[in-house]
Amino acid sequence: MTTYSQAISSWAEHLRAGGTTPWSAWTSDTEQPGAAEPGNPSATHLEVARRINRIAGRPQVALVDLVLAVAPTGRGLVDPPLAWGEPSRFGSPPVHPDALSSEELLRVALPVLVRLLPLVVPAEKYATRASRFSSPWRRSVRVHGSPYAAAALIEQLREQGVPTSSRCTHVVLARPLDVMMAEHWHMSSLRGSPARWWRVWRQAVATGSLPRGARPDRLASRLLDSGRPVHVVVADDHDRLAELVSGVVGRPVSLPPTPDPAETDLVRRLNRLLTLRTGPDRARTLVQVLAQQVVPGARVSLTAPSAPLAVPPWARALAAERSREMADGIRGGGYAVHGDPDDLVPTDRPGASSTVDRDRTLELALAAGVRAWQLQGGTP
Amino acid sequence: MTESVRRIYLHVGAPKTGTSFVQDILFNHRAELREQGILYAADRHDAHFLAALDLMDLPWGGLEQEATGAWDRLAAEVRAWPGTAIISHEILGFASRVHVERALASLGDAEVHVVLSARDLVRQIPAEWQENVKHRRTLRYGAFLDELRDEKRSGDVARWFWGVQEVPDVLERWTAGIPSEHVHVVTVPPPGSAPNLLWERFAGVFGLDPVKFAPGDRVNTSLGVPESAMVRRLNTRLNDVLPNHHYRGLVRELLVHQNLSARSGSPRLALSPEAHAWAAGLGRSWVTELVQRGYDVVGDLDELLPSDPGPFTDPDACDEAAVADAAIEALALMTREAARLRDVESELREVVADRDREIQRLRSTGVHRAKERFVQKAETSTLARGSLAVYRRLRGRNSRST
Repeated sequence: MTTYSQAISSWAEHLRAGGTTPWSAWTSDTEQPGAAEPGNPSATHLEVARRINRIAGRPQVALVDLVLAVAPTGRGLVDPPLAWGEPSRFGSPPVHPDALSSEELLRVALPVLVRLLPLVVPAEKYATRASRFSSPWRRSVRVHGSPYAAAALIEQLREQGVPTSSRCTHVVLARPLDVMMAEHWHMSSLRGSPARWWRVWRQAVATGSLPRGARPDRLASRLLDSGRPVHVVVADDHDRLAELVSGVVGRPVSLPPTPDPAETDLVRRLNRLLTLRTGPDRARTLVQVLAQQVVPGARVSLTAPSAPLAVPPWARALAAERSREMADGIRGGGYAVHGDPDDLVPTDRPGASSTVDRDRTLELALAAGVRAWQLQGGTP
Repeated sequence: MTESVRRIYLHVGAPKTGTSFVQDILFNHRAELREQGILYAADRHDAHFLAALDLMDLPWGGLEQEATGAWDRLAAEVRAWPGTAIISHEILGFASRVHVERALASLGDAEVHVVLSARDLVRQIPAEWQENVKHRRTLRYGAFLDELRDEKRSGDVARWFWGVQEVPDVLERWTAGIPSEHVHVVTVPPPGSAPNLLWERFAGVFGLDPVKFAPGDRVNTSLGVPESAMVRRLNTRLNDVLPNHHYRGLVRELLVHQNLSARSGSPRLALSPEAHAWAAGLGRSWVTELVQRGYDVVGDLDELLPSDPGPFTDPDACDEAAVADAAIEALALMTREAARLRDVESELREVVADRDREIQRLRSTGVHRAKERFVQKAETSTLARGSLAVYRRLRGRNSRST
């Protein structure tokens, strides 16, 4: 007969050796006397280790040991034991580890990342590099609007040596309101905000106003007062937006697609933890490392892309009203408009969801953990 | 009193068992305690709360941002103290075994005593719902009870509640390897007991003179049923628009603690007869278990067995007139507070205007005008710029001086 302690020890050893057998299969032919006992490691720790093995594809003893040793973060089940015979009389109820919610597994997956991120390459490496050659004869351009696309374009033009003096042409990027809000959420997260997607909208509904970067009409009106040329570029698709912007700035540019909601969700969750562990300044640096160095490598392990974000149902009326207001404002704004302002109105995107899929966030967190482990020297 | 043995009392909960009351006494008397060889290491009232947040990586409405490194600092102070030290915070009850291992390892080789204060579930459950309401939650009482009774503990509320309130489990997590005589269960006396009895029990565990470190007047901060219902509804209106620091100051402190809690005559929150029977059964099973474990009981485990059910007023369906009455009182209070703050604002504007007039008067003097002309000249004249630099160096002042 096998006791609970023996069974859990043998499964933990299997996981340390790189095993991926689920608990239910591991214990399928085991006699189960007595009750499950609370103790280390918890079902959550063991299941995170198993899933990390599945991603890593080879034994990572030290990484599994790290997983089993981290303290879970936030609120959730306290030390849930594995499903086994009789439940224990006190403490968290026993759980089948493959049925643990993604939210619960993230409580262990996130601290693993928090331990590994500071060990990844120094952040200075990722500072934006301006072109070594200034090009004062080029037309000066300043970019505004849709936050993520604008940040990417500013960086791109800076690398190309495009000047940004005050005698410039202003380019205001505008995308469908739901996309601009998703970009605003992403950029806020990178700056340290822990807010969820729905909270961004709740605030908009409660105050009746949208974030500055999601109001291209107001940005353009304000810029018009500067006396410099203003171009508002509107497009539903990032490739089309890049094409229109290229025409305005007189050089080919490319723009990134909307950020993956799972990545934004991961960053905003890490913000709280990293701030607590390292302080706010270091935390901002570390999420940049995550976004620029770890996530790109982790994406290759993902099984499916995240669904695009949709406006929450209770905010749709506000979104429709404000986007139409913006479209009308841009049409009659007195500046150059490229593209169709009606593209600002959110449309039903295939598969879009108004909530972030936590399964995707967990998958990315686990993959990022493995990638960070590799980057800090765990595996060549 | 000097101790030859380094001893640490870790008071790990439970919430709503007089923990803040004890922490107030320890914090207010920390200097005298130190003279007696007892350390309550806290430079601010919530120092041990921040340490607990840090230990467990717990988000807490943004307060956790002030907690970076707080546990390690507290543990270092305790390690360096040659006598007895006390650490007390009720959320420590939520610690998992990994957190407990880290906490105990950080405290060095002292003799550790774990202290848990406990109260019967029939009083704890309504008190925890009210605590939830005071922390911006909007869950109705019925839904709260449903979550607690879900055996899978699927909801956040149940996970937190049982994490800190399930006495046998909290003690099991905190006491691995600690002799049962070093585990102290302090029971909260039933209503009607002598006011200082709870403090006397704690003082006995910590080895303090309960008279010398007597508590001040205690303020009962529990809300009545209509007041609780009103604050819950208020939360639904404020949660997306009012930042936490304003909520803490205006709603929790000013409205709830200083005003609504003082209202008398409202029915008190209790359990329905059915919920009472369930909670009473659970409480009995806990007492049976605690008896078997042989801990040091300070008080009486029978005090954890609930009394008979009393009258029940459902906060989800309570007298709307009473809720409206509480709301109007809140509105009147907030209007007075808004007026007071406007007066403060007006006074500050007057102060600013006075300062502004003074600055204008100084600027209108001939000497000041000459200085300004000289500084302007320094922007275009190399000679003037050099003279200004020399002048500033001689005066040893920064660039804002002329």
